[in-house]
Amino acid sequence: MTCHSSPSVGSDSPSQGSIALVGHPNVGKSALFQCLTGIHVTISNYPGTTVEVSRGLARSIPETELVDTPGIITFPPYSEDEQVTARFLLNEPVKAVLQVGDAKNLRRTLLLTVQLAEMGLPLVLALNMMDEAASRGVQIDQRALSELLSISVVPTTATRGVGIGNLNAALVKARPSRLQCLYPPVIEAALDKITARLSNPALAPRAMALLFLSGDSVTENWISEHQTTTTVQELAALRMAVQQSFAEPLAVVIQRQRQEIVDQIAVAVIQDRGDAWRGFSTRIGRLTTHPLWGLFILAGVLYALYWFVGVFGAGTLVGLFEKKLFGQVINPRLTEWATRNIPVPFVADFLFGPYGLWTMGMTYALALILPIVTTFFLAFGVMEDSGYLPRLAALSNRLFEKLGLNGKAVLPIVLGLGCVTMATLTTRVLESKRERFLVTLLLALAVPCSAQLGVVMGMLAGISLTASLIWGGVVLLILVAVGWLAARLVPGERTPLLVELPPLRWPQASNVLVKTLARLEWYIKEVVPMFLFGTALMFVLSKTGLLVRLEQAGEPLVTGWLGLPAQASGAFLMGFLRRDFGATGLFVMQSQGLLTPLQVVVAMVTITLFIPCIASVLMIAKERGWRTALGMFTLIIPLALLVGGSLNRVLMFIGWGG
Amino acid sequence: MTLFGIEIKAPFHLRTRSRSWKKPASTDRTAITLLDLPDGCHAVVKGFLHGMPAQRHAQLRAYGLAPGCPVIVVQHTPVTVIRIEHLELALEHGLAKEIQVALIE
Repeated sequence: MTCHSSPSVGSDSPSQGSIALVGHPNVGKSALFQCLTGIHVTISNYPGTTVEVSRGLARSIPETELVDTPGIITFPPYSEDEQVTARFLLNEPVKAVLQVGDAKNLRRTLLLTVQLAEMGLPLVLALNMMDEAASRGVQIDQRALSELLSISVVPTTATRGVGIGNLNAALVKARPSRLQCLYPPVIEAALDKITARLSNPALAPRAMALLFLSGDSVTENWISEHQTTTTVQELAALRMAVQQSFAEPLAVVIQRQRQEIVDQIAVAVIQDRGDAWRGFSTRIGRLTTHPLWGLFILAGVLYALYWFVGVFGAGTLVGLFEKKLFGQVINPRLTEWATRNIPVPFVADFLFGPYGLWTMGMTYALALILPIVTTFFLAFGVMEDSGYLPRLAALSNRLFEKLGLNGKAVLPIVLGLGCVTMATLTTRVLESKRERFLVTLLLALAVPCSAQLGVVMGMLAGISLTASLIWGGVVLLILVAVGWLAARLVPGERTPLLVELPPLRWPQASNVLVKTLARLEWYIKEVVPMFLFGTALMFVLSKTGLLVRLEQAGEPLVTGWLGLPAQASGAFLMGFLRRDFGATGLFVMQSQGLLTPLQVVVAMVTITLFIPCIASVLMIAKERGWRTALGMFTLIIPLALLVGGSLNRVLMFIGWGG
Repeated sequence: MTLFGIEIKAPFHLRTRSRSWKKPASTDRTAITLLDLPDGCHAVVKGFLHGMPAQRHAQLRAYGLAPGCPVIVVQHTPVTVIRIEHLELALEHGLAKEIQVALIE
């Protein structure tokens, strides 16, 4: 055993780093974070990633920032989310770590505790969800556990605010753990050599050496950035030499030693009556993954989601905001004010014209998209906190397996039916870059957002059921075909599904509301500027006459290949700004009797497969990079036109709707 | 069982038996995998298939799925669901096939 001599949190000056909340996913970290910070929380992307990190000032510890890091299963980190936690601990000043653990699964919690203890940072363990542990007959000797770990162990039930006072007191006095795991002599010798070579390590040198031996890419990057090339080469050679002594990978050997310590501690402190897996929540939980009843529940959940986001958000609320508030009250008054008070017509046009920053950019952002994302964030928060999302992933895994993905891809795809821009963001839940790319491609190509879906369904319903079936069939076929093909062409391996199914719980209204408010603040800061940029681009195209030229250039393709009237090219160009606007343009043409049923179906299929709105385009570029975005659109635009034109010929050939 | 003071009865028989389950070909109980076990079976993890990536191995261990750990198979359709202590884990068949177990009588 060794004893680190870092000072406690209370003795540090307030400016020296934040307190990081670290723990497994689904252990009530966010609920505890909310108890400790209150409602003044900001959610932002961790630099260079799309992973959310929440920050807030501690209520009871003066001038101390708390950071809610993404859930981590183990070190070395596996997904992008987990890597953010590792990078945070390595690169940011951290004055203490608050590990939030699931009290009923203590062995699993302690495996992470041992790793955090090795890092040498002041540490406190919050044994959360004590109510669930008690209801399952799990009792923990918290005093013995605290002595064995040599840190404060505080039982909490964050959803009811139990144990928060004790936790705050423990955080002020947080000290590093003296617990140390002993590894096989070959590894211990290597650890001594590595720690001697590391200069100015970010964490305890022994912890960094262990992470390096385990093949942690975040630590490897830190070492290559902060150490000399000779040291990096020497360390790599040393690791290779140590590996020769073991048949299993070093990460496995190291983890096994930790597991032994954990087992010893667990035996000493846990009393389990074995009352697990009873009660209503367990029964409902089982139904949600049942091969038959699970599908019925899934259909119900999807319908509720569609109704809340698609019908209520995108229909009722958007109608209220866009048509009534902005269309009849705000915009007419502002336009009138601008014509009277802004002497330069160009400026007035730039702000309040047809492509004006306010009349188009802000109106889209606040009246069209804000109601949709608000309902979406609320629904997402409820699903997130209820524990249903991992069950959805389990149910849909087989379908996504065919598309080179795993069940976790269902979330962004379903949310894409609400808003593709938001759905692109949620691809962060996927583990590999390859999967995030594949899902983004499918979203951009063949998932219509709720606004567009409304117009398309309205137009097709006016023709016949067959028209709707042709449209749905072709779009689904393209989605599956492109997904299947892309999965085989894009390099990299598919990640098999491995997901924890947490108990189903009633979501806490305050937690969902706080998260929704913080995410809306993020939306207004990050997405609204994109709308303004898109509008300015359209304004420039319109003023320079390029918009008209682009419409004219597209005419031969639209009339010759797709077999549509010349006016349709304008609708397709508007479709770039918002797909549903393009569809609305075509809707007007249909109501004027300018389109035959065949032309309606061809136009609807083409515009559905066409690139999504400009906000989504910018979001895709932001998330995946401009090169990837351009590559996707180079594929999507010709494909949409190819499918539309081919469908036109096939339908003409069989004599349908001509 | 009661919920908000109302007596609730489970409407369906919850036990699901995987249609795809077949009796393991091998009679050596140490060689069977998680996928070979029928629903409701109790077993102990013996190890992982050789060649499993170290990260996957560490991830499974972090979930508590380590040699010597007792597990209960809940279902195999649409994915394999197992219980380890108070944790429920869903894993696809390809992964379940890589986890070697021994049956508990």
